[in-house]
Amino acid sequence: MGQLDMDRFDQDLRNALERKSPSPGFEGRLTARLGQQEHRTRWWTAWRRPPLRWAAITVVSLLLLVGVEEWNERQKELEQGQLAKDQVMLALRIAGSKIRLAQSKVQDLSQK
Amino acid sequence: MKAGFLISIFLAATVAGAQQTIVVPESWDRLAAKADEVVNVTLDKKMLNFAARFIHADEGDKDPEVAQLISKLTGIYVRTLEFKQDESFVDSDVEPIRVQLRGPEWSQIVHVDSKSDKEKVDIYVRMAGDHTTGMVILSQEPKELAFVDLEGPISPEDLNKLSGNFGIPKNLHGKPKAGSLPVAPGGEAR
Repeated sequence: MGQLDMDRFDQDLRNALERKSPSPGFEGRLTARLGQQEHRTRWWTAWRRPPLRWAAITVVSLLLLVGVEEWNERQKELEQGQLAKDQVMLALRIAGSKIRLAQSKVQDLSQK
Repeated sequence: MKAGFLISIFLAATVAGAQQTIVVPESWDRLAAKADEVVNVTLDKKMLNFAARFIHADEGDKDPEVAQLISKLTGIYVRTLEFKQDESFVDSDVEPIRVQLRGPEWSQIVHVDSKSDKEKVDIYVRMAGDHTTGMVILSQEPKELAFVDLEGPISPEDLNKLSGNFGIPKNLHGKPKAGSLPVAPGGEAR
């Protein structure tokens, strides 16, 4: 490699590392971009804050509790309804069997 | 507790007690302690409405008339006592119920007294004008006592709607054959 080549390489390096002024409006664009990023970061990091995290956990737990309670109530109502229905059926079955008994006795006596 | 099978179910007993028109004597409670099987169903209007929702959902499509009939009833009260031995009860255990059914609003529509089988079955309806407002079935068998009180506008015609359901025979109130009238005590036809 000769002296001439070294000078050219040196010159290229200088050109590449030369201080350049930013294009017009660069500062405004940079500020706007940073603002956006900061907003996005704040939204995500908000959940990492203990008060909000606990509030969220509490709300979800409450909703779960209410849901489970509602489901239990519904189940209880279904069981009671089924029991009441079974009682009606049992009562009518007993009534029916006694009417049948009366009917058969009447028939027996009428045949004698 | 006695060996055997005991069913005792109380539903809405506090409310129902006030609405039941025929009071079952306390002696039945003592008999229940001796009984092998006890059925006690107490359903007031509130519980019947509740049950009707389920009956309507389950049976309504199959037989809407049955669901409709049940929704008309205002109370169902049933007590049955089944014993292992004959003569575990006496007539005086049932007499207090019969006394209540001798009131002017009650009409006895069926009376069966079979001396040979030691069985008595009586069916009464309560009338208000031309309308029935209740029906009571009282049955005495050697080993079983049964009291059924159906409160509400249930009529013999309604029972036909139940025919084929709940063990009630079909054509229950069909045209009676000659000589098949209910008989009075002693086995004589009324």
